[in-house]
Amino acid sequence: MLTSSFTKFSAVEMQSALAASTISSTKPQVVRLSVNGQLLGGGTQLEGVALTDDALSTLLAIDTPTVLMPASETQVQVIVDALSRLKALGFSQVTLGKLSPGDGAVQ
Amino acid sequence: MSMFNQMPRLRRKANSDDNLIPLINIVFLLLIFFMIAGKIEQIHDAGLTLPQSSQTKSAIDQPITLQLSKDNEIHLNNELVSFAELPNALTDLLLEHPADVAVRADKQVTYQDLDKVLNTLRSAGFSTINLFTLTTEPS
Repeated sequence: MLTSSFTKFSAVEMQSALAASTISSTKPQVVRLSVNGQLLGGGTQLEGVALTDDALSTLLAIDTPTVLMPASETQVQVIVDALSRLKALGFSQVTLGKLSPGDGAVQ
Repeated sequence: MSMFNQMPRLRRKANSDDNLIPLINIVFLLLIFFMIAGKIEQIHDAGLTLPQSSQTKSAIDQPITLQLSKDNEIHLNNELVSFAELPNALTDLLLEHPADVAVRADKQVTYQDLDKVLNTLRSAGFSTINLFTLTTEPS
């Protein structure tokens, strides 16, 4: 009884970049994550645009592979919050992008 | 006559035993409750404070667990490994357990450090990475 634990764990599942590239040939959409947890548009058209939940649902396709690119100093708690937020909005194929030698991440 | 004298004494003895039975039942029910609802804690947590999420998907224990502390210490299946040793250690484990990997990273780890570990996992060939969190009640 004393060694029992009632802590409940959950898992945020991510497809690795390798798997995402083999699953779909569709070009992934990019969402950037700032250190303070703000989601910003990536890619050419939405670069730097702050994305609210409504904007995420309307401007991005939930069934397209999505790459979340956190800034290098972003803490894991902020990343988990962003991943949970995207999953809650219906984005099913979310993966974390690789950091480039600079700061921004490149898939 | 002597037989009748002994009977009440026997009944009193049986009554005192009967009083213990509910107590024993309750103790056993409590024991069964803790065995079913509780989980024996085996995980060496390396001083981790896991991030919290309201994610409803319960985590399934994976045969390969990687822990990353805020001091960037890496424990692979509860054994301390250096970052340089990690690729070889992962390759060996992947041959034994071709499965997904569970990553338990401290909530204060920065993405810069997590990314190095994730890149190593990707290079080793893991297709799905489960980032473990503590479940919180949705507000």
